[in-house]
Amino acid sequence: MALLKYTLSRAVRGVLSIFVIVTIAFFAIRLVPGDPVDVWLGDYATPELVALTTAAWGLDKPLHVQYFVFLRQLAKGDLGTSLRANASVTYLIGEVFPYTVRLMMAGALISVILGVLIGAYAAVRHNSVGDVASMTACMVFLSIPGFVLGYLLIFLFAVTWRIFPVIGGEKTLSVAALWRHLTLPALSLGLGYAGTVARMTRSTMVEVLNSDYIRTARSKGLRQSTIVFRHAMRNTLTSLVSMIGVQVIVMLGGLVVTETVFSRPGLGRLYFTAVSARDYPLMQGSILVIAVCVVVVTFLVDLSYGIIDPRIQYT
Amino acid sequence: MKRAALVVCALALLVAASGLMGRAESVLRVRLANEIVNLDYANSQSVSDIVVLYQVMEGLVEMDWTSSEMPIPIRGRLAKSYEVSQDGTQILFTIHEGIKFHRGYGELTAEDVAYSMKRIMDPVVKSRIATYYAAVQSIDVVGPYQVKVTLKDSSALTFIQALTWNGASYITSKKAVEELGADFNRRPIGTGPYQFASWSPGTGVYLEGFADYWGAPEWGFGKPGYDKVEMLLIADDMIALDALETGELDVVGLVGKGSVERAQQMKDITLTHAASGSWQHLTAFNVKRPAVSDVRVRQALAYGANLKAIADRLGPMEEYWPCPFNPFVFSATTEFWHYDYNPEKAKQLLAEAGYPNGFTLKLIYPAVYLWGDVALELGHYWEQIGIEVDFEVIEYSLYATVRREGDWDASVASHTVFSPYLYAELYMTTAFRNYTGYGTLELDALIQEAAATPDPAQAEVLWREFQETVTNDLPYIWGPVQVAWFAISNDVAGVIPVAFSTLVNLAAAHPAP
Amino acid sequence: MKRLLKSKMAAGGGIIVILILIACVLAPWVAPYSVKDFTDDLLARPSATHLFGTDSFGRDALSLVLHSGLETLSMSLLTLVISAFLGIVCGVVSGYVGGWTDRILSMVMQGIMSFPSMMVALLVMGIFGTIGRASLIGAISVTLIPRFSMILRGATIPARDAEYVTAAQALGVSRWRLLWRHVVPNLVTPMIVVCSTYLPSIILLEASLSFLGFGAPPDAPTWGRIVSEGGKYFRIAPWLVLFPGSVIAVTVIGFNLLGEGIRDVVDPRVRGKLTARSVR
Repeated sequence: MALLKYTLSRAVRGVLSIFVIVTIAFFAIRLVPGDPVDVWLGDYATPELVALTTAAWGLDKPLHVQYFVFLRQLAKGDLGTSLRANASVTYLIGEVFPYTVRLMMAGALISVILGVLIGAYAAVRHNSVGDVASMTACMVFLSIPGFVLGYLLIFLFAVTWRIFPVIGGEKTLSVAALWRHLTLPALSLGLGYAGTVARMTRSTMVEVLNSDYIRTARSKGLRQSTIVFRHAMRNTLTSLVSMIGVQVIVMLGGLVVTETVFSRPGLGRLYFTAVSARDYPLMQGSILVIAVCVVVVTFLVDLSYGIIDPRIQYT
Repeated sequence: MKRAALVVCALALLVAASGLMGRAESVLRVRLANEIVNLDYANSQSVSDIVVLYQVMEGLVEMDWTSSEMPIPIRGRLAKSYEVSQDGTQILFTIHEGIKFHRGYGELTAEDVAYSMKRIMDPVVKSRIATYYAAVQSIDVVGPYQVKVTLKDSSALTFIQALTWNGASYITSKKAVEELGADFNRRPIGTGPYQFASWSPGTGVYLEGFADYWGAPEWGFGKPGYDKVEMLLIADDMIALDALETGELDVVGLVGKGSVERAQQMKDITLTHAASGSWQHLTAFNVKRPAVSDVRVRQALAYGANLKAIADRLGPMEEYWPCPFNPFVFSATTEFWHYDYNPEKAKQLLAEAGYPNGFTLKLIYPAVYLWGDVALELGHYWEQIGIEVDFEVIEYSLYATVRREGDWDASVASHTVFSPYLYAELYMTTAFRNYTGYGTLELDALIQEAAATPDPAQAEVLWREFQETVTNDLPYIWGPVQVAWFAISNDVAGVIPVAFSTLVNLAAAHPAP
Repeated sequence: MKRLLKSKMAAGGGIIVILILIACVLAPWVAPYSVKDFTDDLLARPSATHLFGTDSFGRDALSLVLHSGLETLSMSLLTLVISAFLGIVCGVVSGYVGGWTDRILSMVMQGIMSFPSMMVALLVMGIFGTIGRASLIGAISVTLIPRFSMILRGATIPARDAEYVTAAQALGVSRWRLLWRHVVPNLVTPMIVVCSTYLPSIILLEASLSFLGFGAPPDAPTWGRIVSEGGKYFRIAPWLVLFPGSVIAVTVIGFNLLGEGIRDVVDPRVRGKLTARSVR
């Protein structure tokens, strides 16, 4: 019951914050110089064509009218028509969204699994050579610009060793295709955050391993692996999960670069094209979808606290 | 004798059987450098739109890019012939018979030709190439395969030149446009060797060989050489070449600096380029601004920049070509350019103009293609003749707007059109695209006269006069011109580089033997 | 300060940062060549004359890295200062005035924060239309202001209600003056910590923006712009990516180490503290 109430209140707050973001975006992009008609027509912008196009795109109406038109369409689940591509925004987003979801999930998995393993290893071998080496490696991955990492991965794994393809978009959904096409982009997206996760896991675990109850467990003669994975890990997870929520938002930002380097369709690139072309409906649509993603992820993260640590109360 | 016949029969059977059994689908993978925007021929926007449509659609007339002649000759493609009336006001197009549209839209008729051309002029379509048709009075169907275009003046020659570019004479099926409605811009229907199959946003475009392709016998294209063509979107030159190296791509059009040099180091590929440079870099001067309004200052800027050296430094992709027209365009010549690199003379001219200590020049450019490199190189030379260059980068999509607003002294851009008139338009006082503020009524009259001269020899004299005038007045410096280069897998033959970055003709492409 | 010196990490980071700072500030004197030297030696390999090789304009890459280092670091610092200042103003106003001002400001700030910085910066860059130092600083600042603002708001609210503030108010001291005297000074250390962690992310964010063509202009390049320009030559002149890329990495590592060191010293509990946070 508490959970239901909690979910509901979260949903309301989520919708509210999405609404705020979309509204800010709606006005921010319109209140500045350079409208999509200029961008679209470029050198061909004769006064007649400008007038025709402005009217055809409904940009001649006052701002508040445009806003209400937008809201009314939104209520019907219609995101409008992309000005540039003249295709419905829902279609354009729907086409690329699955690619983004797969890339995000693969990237998150890589960063969490690699990060936790490296972090746990470093914590257990606290202050050893392996600890220093792995932490240095993590620091390096954190500090390389994303596209350089992408270039390096392509150069090594695709061109030199020919393990994975250069082009990162998967056309079919077979396991083989997914594995082949997703690995490099996901690594490029996930490695940096794996560094963050590893450093965080390590510092948390070092503290847990030095705490009283682990010492008690040790004195009871429990095996090291049991201690690490049963006890220390559980305590690490809570703080890890809260971090992942933030990481997902950062990772969403990393999408633009990763998708560009690996020539993958996706939300990041769609957003980028929309911004460059000042394609208002497409911008609003992609901003909305990204905001929804953020809200949903944050909510899931909060929910999962309860699963990891049943002591937590939803209030 | 009998035995020989038997052997022949057996061989024939064997060939037939192997053909039936082992024939895998042949696929050609071609790189696109930017996102597809609009596949309606009347509204194509990005280079990739043009590249895709080039395979799907066919025009009445076309430039023959297989020719090595300069200017590149114009030939009929769908048009079997085009006759220009003596006074240059009428053109009679006679089209080939028996040409089929894709997807069962029937045979190409004069009706479709007239419809497709009129569609460009229709305000509802908002076509940006409608200006190419500004001189058109009427378009009439005069027979099942004949269309007559009547012009308001005697500019037939200019009109035909304009028809060779940007889909200005692409013919689609009237029935298709009417049936597809709003979807037409994502489902082009033409008569070309490849028919459009699908577009996945962010990934690319998929084409299929058109079995009923008429083969354009005069051009010798024949049936399409591939079952499928995948045109994949890869923005980065280096990544595209990586994909060519690993066999994920077959044809890679190169756009950026360094890519030709990289491709030259690759094995098992063929590196080829278009017959002529086609993307002209030009630096405009805003003659409304104090310093650059003085022709001596503009001449000083021309003398002060070593255009030859800049072209060399920018790599094999760029050619020295200081002329208002692209090299392949009718009447183009560099003979009037007399500003060979001479920094001393430049300084002297600046002093004469009253700027012995130079001045501050605001140079704007968007950081796309090689424009930034051209800007930096020019700026570097100008700094050496004592000018302080104030660089400003403008976002590409806003560039036209910023140039129109006019807060700049010099701005770098580049363009491609296929007729002298479309280039000259830029210098007219009436032109919306004339950002320089340069122009005189006499020059306008000269341009109009040249455009409306039906006799090619006479027209050439007038166009040369135009080139001489603007080269003396220098509203622009015509920088290096970019040549379209292609890196092609050795498994592929018959690819014809056309013009413009990444634009190829795949009509004759086939697997290499 | 003593503790800061004792921390190995902070000391290491500090040394890196100071060395790089010195090298960049002294660029006009230590750089072997001027960046205005466009030579005909294009894309030359690293050699004794050109340690980092030359770029596509024939400029000495090492000199370019040094000169653009000043650009990069000054851009990043200026961004921090501007966003910290505006963030402080927004946060203090939000926390001190309260009511609807607070509600609306907080909502906007949280809205921006819940959106990826990269995408916010792209949007702002796109909105500005010119690609230069000013718009870049503006774009990155927009992503940082909410972070500062939220910290300040959180710190202002308890101070507003603190007894000594109420008492001082009764004595007729201006409320704003009180805030300035008593609240802000307490925030100096946490602000330094936050700034030290944001600096490397500004450098990386700028690099990504440059890669997408929305970063620093080519005529006044930052490290990010240099690396992304070098990316075009990655397969024929990899040193144009690897050297400046390493410089970025080392600088970011340096700042990260220093930031962590400072954080440890300032608040040893923060690091690695296990908080079984309850969900509200």
